[in-house]
This record gives sequence, structure tokens and C-alpha cells, in this order.
Amino acid sequence: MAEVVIELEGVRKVYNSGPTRVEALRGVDLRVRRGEFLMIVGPSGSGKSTLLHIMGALDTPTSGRVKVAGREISNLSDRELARIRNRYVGFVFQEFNLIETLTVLENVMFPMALADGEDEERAKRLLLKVGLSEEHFDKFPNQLSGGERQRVAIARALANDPEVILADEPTGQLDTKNSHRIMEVFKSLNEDGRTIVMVTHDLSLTRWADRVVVLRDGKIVEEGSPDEVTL
Amino acid sequence: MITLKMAVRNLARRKVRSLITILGVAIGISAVVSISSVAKGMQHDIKVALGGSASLIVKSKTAPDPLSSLLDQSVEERVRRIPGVKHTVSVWFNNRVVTIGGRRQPIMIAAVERGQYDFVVGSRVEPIRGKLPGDGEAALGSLAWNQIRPRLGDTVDLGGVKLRLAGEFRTSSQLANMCMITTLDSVKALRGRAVSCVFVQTSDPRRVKREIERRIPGVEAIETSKAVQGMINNLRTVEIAGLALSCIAGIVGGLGVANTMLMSVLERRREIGVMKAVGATRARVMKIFLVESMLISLIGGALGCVLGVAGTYVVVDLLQRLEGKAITMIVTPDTILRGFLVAIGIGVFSGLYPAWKAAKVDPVKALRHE
Ligand SMILES: Nc1ncnc2c1ncn2[C@@H]1O[C@H](COP(=O)(O)OP(=O)(O)OP(=O)(O)O)[C@@H](O)[C@H]1O
Ligand SMILES: [Mg+2]
Repeated sequence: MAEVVIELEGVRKVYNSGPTRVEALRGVDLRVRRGEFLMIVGPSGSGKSTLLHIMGALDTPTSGRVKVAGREISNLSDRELARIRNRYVGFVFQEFNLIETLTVLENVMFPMALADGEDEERAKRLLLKVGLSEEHFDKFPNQLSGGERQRVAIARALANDPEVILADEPTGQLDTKNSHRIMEVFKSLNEDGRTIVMVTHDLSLTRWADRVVVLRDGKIVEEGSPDEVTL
Repeated sequence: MITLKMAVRNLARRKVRSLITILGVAIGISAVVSISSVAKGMQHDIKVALGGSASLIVKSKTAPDPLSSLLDQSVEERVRRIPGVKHTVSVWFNNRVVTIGGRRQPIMIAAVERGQYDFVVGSRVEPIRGKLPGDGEAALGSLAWNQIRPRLGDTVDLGGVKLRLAGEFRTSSQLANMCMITTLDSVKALRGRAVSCVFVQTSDPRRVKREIERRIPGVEAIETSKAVQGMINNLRTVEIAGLALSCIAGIVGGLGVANTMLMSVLERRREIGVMKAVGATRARVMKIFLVESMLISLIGGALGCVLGVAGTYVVVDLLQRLEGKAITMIVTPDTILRGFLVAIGIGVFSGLYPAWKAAKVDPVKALRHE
């Protein structure tokens, strides 16, 4: 049995925005194993993003236990949580979320600057690895296509060699062709041994995963290999 | 490194807004620089008026001030014999109407022994045209020269004595720049054996003052440092009022920076969320925004120093030309340093609240797609 890299037990998340109270997660138990390609699917509003954020120490649960990098995150300081996000996990978002005032290369080096220091050679290697050619390195994000931007975002997620990549609908804004290419990038990273957790509501993507978890109304309702889960 | 690049590009991205904010700071800083350079100039003028490098001025007891005092020229020799006296210079001041190149002009004449000009003024007397006067010659300060517009070699008629105009000089004191200087021997026919006062240099002014007044009847020795201090203390009130004014200008500039930074934080909420998602701590986010407000303030500070110095120079020059008013301005590294310190203060204080707002941004909310 492979080592568990992220572990959730009875995780609840309640959002109180004014008078309304939203229970985004209602008791989620989940273990992410090293090297697996895990996909979390579910309808809009089912709590997928919330779950992913908690898995990456970007958000904390209202109750329940979350262990990331072997540590219970609810007791950690801002600095320690930031350190986990910086080194242990790498986020990839639907909206790419690159920093517009930084070049492609600088975007990839930004998490490095927060850690041990900028390593330009490494940043270049990562960009080439995710399939972005050198001519784009000094461009700004608004000079790139969606597919290219997402490659930069993936390279940035890899900046400090994280244990897990956490991707939230990474193909949500891409056409079919670009979607496919980005999925291939994730697949090849996974084949190199990188753990991947991906959130999507696109059921056609489940075939790329080793394991699929179905979320509905903040609860895991089904779990299994891609062809086991019905829906 | 990346943080600094980001700050620069963010300023460049909103050019007009950045420029207005920078100008706001620059105006405050230029007020600080301008006021303190004029205040320094005033202090300097007071020092010059009260004896240049001298530590004591010996005048007749009955005269209200050294300019209107009269002493016999033998006083200098008697002062020089007192132990502890390092250096003495007799000065003859005379305010009279002279004719230069056919033009009549009232002017203050200061006659000293040749080679003692620097000592009397307390800073370098620099010839900028011709040379400093020898016997039978006179030189005009740059302000007087510009007013009279004579030619080198013109005859200066003091009414009974004719001198040759040998040069134009400049000193750091505008007061001195309005005078005419010559040698004691040149005006012998006018003054006879009289001088106005004796400038004395000593390391022990209190003792030497007592000694002078004991040995030489009818004279009084003024301790210049005390007199200067008294005048400067009066001036301080003016300076404080000026600094209060520039404080207000600084606060207005600072509010501009705070406003710009707050807008920047609002606009860049998502970017802040991203920074946190890739591992920026709250402290780091604060630092990133503080770097930006510091950058605005430092650019504003640099611009303010330039504007303050250049602007004051222009105003001083105009006042001279149009009104004949002589204002001395002195810019020292100290003045510029003060300008930058105020700029740094503005950067930190006005950036603190926006930076704290930025650090508090909830990344989850900031990253939610609308
Ligand atoms: N900051 C918040 N304040 C209030 N409610 C929130 C907040 N974040 C999420 N929610 C609510 O929590 C629930 C789960 O949201 P979440 O974004 O996790 O869903 P999702 O499965 O990612 O949806 P989508 O597929 O649309 O991205 C939703 O009902 C949402 O409105
Ligand atoms: Mg979502």
C-alpha cells in the first residue's frame, strides 16, 4: 500500500455569509496516496473547490481532521501553512491565475523566490517539460493563448518540486484540443511519479484518472476506478 | 528581485495615477527641502553679519552695532598682544553713495586688509570676474554687480577717493554679495585713523573678552556665537512654522499614496490570492505592498528634492531681479537627507494600512470565479 500524502477525516466546512449558512462539506473522509491520479467529480456547488483548497492548506475545515505533509493543519501558523502551499503542494486553477505583471519565466520563479531563491535554469527546464517553447519565456501572460497559460501555471505549480499537484478544473476554459494536450501533460507528470488530485465536472475526463471520487452536496457518494463509478 | 520588478511594473501599468501620486509626495518633499535650505541660508547670513569666522568683535562701547562703531586703528595692535588671541582683522564699514561708471549708487563698503576677505565673511570670497581688490582697487559682490552692470576697469568714485573696479566676487552669503570690498589703505583718505571694529579669533572667547574690556578703555567685545545663537533662536520659530507647513504637505502626499495603494489592493485581490496560494505568508504580502508604496515615495522624494532646490533657486533669483531682495539659500547633504527621510516616513506610514489590508485578503474568496 502506497504512503498517504493527504488525509481527511470527517471534514466539515460551513460558510457563514451574513444570514445565510452554507454547508459546503458535510463530513468527508478521503486519503490521497502517493503517486496516484485522483479525480474529484461532482455537480456545480457540490464542494469540490472547497475540498481541494482544504487539501492544499489554503483553507481550514470548520471541523474534522486534515493531515497534509504529515501534519494536522488546524494547529498550524500562517507561516507553516504558507510553507506547505509553497513546497508540498502546487495549485493549478481554471482561470490560470498567473501574475499579469510578471513574465512567463518570472511567474514560474515566483514560488522559488518565496522559498530558497530563484533558479532560472530550473524554471526553464520546467517550462520546456510542460511543453512551452523558449520563445514564450519572456512574454507576459496576456500575450499567450489559454493552453499556453495553463502550461505556465503547471510549471509554476512544479516550481518547488511539490509532492502533490492540486488542479481545479484546469481544462475548464480550454477547447477540446487544448484540453486534451493539458491532460497529457498531467498524465506524463503522473507517470513520472507525481501525485495528482484534479477537480472537474467534466465526466469525460475521468478516464485519465486511477481513482474517481464523486461528491454531491458536500458528501462523497461514490468512489472507485473510472469504470466502476456509475453516475 | 521579483518583488521589485513587480512594484515597478505595477506603477508603470497605471501611469497617470502613479504620476499624480508621485507628484503629491514630491510637492511635500520640495516644501521640506525648500524651507530648510532657505532657513539654513538665513542662519548663514546672520553668522556673516555677525562676524564671519571671528569669535569676538571689538567695537566702541557707545555704538549700537559694529557697523556704526568707530575705533582708532591702534586698537587692533593692542588686542593682538593679549594672550590667547590667534588672529585679528580690522574692518572699516561705510554706507555711502558711490559713482561707478557714471552711475550713482548707495552701497555698503567693507574695507579690510588684503587677503582677509574670507575671514571676515566666514566663507570663501570667490572672484568670478577680474580679481579680488588690492590697494587702489575695489570689487563688487555679484548682486551689486548685476544691479549696477558696470564694466571692469570702471572708475569708482567714493567722493574724494577714486578706485579702479578690479572684479566681481561671489560668496555663499547674499548679504555679502550686495557689498563692495576694498583694502583699508585704499580708503585711508576717507577714514583717517579710524576703523569700525576688530574681528578677533580665539579659542577662549570668554576670557579674552574680559581681558580686552579690562585693558582697552571704551571698547566692548561681542561674543559672536552668543549673538548668532540669539538670532538663530528667533529664526527657529520661523523654521518650525515652515516645517509644520511642510508636514501638512507631507501628510497630503501620504494620503495620496495611501489612497493609491488601497485602490491597488482592491484591484489586485485575485493576485494576492494567487500569491498566497503559491506560498506567500501574510508578512510577505505586506512586504510586497510596502515595497510599492516605498517606491512611490522614494521617487516622489527624489523628484521633490530636485523640485525643491530648483524651485527655490528660481524664486530666489526672481525675487532678486524683480524686487531686489537678497535671499541666501544653502543646500547641504543634510537637507537632501531630511527630504528623503520624510519620504521614507511617508512610504512606510501611508503604505502600512493598505499593506495590512492586502495581507488580510482571504485567498479562497479572492480566487473564486465570478
Ligand atoms: N466564501 C464562501 N462564502 C459563502 N459560500 C461559499 C463560499 N465558498 C463556497 N461557498 C458555497 O459553498 C458551496 C460549495 O462551493 P464550491 O466552490 O466548493 O463548489 P464547486 O463544487 O467547486 O462548484 P463549481 O463546480 O461551480 O466550481 C457552494 O454552494 C458555494 O456557493
Ligand atoms: Mg469550483
